[in-house]
Amino acid sequence: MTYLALNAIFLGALAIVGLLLNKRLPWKAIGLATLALLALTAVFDNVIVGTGIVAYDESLITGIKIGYAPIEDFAYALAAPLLLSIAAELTKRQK
Amino acid sequence: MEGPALSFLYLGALLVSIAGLASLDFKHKLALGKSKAYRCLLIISVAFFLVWDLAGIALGIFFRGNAGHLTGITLSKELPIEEIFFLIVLSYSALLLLKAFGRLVRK
Repeated sequence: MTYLALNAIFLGALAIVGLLLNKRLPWKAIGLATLALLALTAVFDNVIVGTGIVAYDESLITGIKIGYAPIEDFAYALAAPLLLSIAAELTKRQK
Repeated sequence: MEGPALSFLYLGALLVSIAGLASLDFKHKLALGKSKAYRCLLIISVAFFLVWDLAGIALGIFFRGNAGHLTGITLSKELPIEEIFFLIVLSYSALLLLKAFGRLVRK
């Protein structure tokens, strides 16, 4: 399985839950936080891939990169704000 | 100079980052600075990304590089202890951004 396919599973699952909770999620804040996190990831990932802290099987990634960072790595940044918002909503105490 | 087998450079950088995030959090009372309950969200997030990581490692997609910036302590094959702290940085950053933007948007 490629990195892109693996990401599709995790992002897909989050997207489905996100759509189910649609009206209960703070979409504006999620969007802005995601954009900021993507920018931070571009910097951070270039450092950890560039310094060789993490490495990839080149046959399992698309090869599209932002500097040293494989485009697939940005999926984590794409997921985090949505995941936290979903978790916050689902763990909210019912009144 | 430390040899390539044992280096605290990456782990140290991650811990400094977490400390920086915590100081912003407590200064602006965004998450943990407001309520301890946010610990639960961070744990859920770190656990979620850990499953994602372990799947990627099991599939052979990514693995530990041969850089000399890691302590060499691993939690399982190809999973350096540093990854937990990286996932905390990622999750904590996302949580603080979410809270900060949430506050801005509401105003």
